[in-house]
Amino acid sequence: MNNTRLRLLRGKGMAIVLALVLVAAACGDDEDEPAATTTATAAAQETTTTVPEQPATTAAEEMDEPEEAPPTTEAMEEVVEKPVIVASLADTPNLIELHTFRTTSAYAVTNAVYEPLIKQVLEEQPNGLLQGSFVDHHGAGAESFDITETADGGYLATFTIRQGQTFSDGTPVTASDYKYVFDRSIEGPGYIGLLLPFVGISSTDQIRVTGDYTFEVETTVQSPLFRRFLTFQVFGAMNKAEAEANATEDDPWSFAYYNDKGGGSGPYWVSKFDPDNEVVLEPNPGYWNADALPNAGVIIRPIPDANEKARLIAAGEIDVATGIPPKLLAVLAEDPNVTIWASQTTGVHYLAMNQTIAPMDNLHLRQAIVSAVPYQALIDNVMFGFASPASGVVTSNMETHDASIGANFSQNLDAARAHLEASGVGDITLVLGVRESRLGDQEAAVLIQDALRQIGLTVDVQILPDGDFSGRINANELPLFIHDWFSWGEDPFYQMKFLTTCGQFVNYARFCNEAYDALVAEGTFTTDPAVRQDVSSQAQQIFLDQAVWAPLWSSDRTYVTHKCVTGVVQDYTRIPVFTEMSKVPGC
Amino acid sequence: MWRYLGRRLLVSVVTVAGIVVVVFFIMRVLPGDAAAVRAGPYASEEKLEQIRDQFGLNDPVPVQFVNYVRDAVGGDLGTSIRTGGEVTEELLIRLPASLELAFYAVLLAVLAGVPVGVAAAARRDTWTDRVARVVAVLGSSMAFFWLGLILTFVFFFKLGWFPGPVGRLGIVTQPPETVTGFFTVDAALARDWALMWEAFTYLALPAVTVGFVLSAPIIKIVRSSMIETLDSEYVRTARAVGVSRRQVLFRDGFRNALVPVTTAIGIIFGYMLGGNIIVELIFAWPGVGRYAYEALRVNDLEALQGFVIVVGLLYIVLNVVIDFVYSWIDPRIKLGQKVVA
Repeated sequence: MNNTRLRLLRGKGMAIVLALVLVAAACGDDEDEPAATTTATAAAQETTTTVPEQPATTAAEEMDEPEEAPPTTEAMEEVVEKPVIVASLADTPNLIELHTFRTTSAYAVTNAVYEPLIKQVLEEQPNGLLQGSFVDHHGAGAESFDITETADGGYLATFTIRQGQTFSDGTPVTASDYKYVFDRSIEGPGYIGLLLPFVGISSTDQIRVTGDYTFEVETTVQSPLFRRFLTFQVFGAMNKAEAEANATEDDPWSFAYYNDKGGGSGPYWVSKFDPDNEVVLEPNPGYWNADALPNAGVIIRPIPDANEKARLIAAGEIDVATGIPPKLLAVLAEDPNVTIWASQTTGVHYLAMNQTIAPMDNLHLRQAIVSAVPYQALIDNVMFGFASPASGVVTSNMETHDASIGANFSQNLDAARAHLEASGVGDITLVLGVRESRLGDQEAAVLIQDALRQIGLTVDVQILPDGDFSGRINANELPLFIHDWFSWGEDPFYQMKFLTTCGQFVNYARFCNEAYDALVAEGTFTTDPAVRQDVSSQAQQIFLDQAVWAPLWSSDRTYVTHKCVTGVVQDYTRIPVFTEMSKVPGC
Repeated sequence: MWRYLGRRLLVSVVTVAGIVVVVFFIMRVLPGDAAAVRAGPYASEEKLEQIRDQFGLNDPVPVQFVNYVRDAVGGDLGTSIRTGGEVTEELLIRLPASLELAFYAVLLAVLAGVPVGVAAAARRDTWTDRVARVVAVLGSSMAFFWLGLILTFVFFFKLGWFPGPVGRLGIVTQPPETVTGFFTVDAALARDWALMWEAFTYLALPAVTVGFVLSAPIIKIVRSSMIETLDSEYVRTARAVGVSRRQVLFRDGFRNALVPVTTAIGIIFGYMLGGNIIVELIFAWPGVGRYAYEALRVNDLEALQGFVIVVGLLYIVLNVVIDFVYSWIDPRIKLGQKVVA
């Protein structure tokens, strides 16, 4: 009897709980109230406006006054709705602090948020790709600029900032905001300060505000990289007032504050930053060229699985994707709904040989490895043709590359065996480390392992978590490993300096040669093309003779877009650019 | 019951302390240098030291441990070296996504597994039983990632019946106002039925992927428990005195089989609490499993520690809930009392 009552009570209890849940559900928002959910289109489509269709900025246009041509009556009639671009990039944005090293997709976010002083002029290629010019630049945050040589052998650059442009909170952009970003680069805890000496800037005194909207930068050297540096997002205006308001004693440059916030005056502002889920970029109404933006914003959704990302592109669920493995690119190339935008770059994937670890201190052994690597097979079977031969630290697509020297980086197993015999190295097993996140590197390691087996070398391929890999190469614990690099600005001497000169922290092969360093130093601050070519060739010959690396390939920069997407840009940095991206109406 | 709860709370505190100690020291012996990952390629030794100082990685391990425990007691699980954000906050943001997926996956597994298991036991050695066993074997042997990829290929890409694997909601949809963190529930509370439906459609494929695989052990356990019960003497006696087959099956057989089944469901749900990394990666599900995976890749120690501790805490809570469920299913089980045979 008691048990029966207990059961009845339990049943009643359950019924009451269920009823309460239903009542709670029924007592939700009043129907008259706006729904808590809006669509995306909320963020993006509410701001969607109908505007005359505008072509991408090209070299033919006037650079400093892009908004000067008013739309014609005909153009006003032919209106199109600006689309929202949905992107899934190579990785997950982790943080968006401008001067902290971050993931590639995080750089894409900041690229959209911060406006540099100048930009590359875009030249439309036959396939529709907008290629940034290596020669011509136009004003961006700066309305005009002038760079002259100083008597001391440096440059004096003067800038006039555009009036009327604002940060996304409405604060006007002034010269002080640009000085602030330079000062922050030089004195803040970020990594940019390490790069500035390359263009002869090391003190905040070299950045001088001369008026509300004018300032100047004086360098101590004449570096061909100077103009290119000025196009980088890391020198985009930062909202000085906001940054200073959020500074603390421990964090005087507000690095922590900007981990998940944008503080720029660029074309977009970050309306949502949910790193593993979604980042939403909305147009900044105070951007100087806001009317020319051909889209109504960007939504970045990280899709970790490359196969799913490929399917989403094909189905039109996302508009643009990066980080698709070459094997999948080859498959997607057959899909009529997909466009693959591939362009050669100056980046390098390389097999490094750490010369501080025996037996890699043996020159003949290194030469044997360099001669044994199956370079073309790697391009064909790992990169599926989406790469070109690297052929040296100054890669085949880079200015001053010496093709006669680069040609020596080809597989020659007989030469490899001869070098191995000369090395006197006996029966050894070499450890080849690759990163867990790099599938292509792992596939390349297997082909390299097979090639080295053919000349009598045993290789143990170790796939390591990225953190472990980084720790080991820094601690000189990996004799052989595959790494990669891309130099923003694509300058050969910058590339040689960082990757292969004595004591550089990213010279993971620990190669050190005084003659080589002297050549690199000479070329770095030389603007004469003939001299640059000559010293570069000499340095490339030393690099070959010393068998510093086996330069495996220069991977293409690839964007995969739905067929309707236009306005894909390639600039100095390989970071995705959204400012020209749109969709063909009615496609 | 209060005595039971008190004792359980004490045991839980000891368990959590054990988890914290073990996890902390295991993380310290993991190879790798998180500072190098954070610093990126432009990592001078000076910069690396600066990052190690900032995140306390240069302190002696006992000092790190004391600092960590002190902060953890206050709810501060540290700062992620990958994102620069607070680990507690980042986990709490992602936890509802994993819990919602786990809840519906386990619900599906139970709704499918229990009837199939009961039917198989009731019709032993018939085609029903054979089909159930084949389903159980398929579920046990099928990898999450394979099933997930096949389901998205067929039902999203080929047939277009379900949305693509882009997370919890469509790319252009705003989530409901957070009440529980379960989008399906929050949308219902906001009386936004379209949004609730959308949340269900995005949940469907990952939940079916996990639910199908999880239904296999439930089918097996329900079937074997039911068979054992149906073969028992008291059931035979009941049948002999004329109790109907249906009554025997559900009142005696199923009720008695529920205790081991509950145990199995508890274990499965506990396993799912940690988030299913593979499924979260395939379906771009923004849960704690994906967070832990990203942290593991770059040796983000505090994020990993936080993840393990939070999952451990949830597991403890789950076990207490299961104990209550036991006593509800079988009134002979009294919480906090020894069972007298």
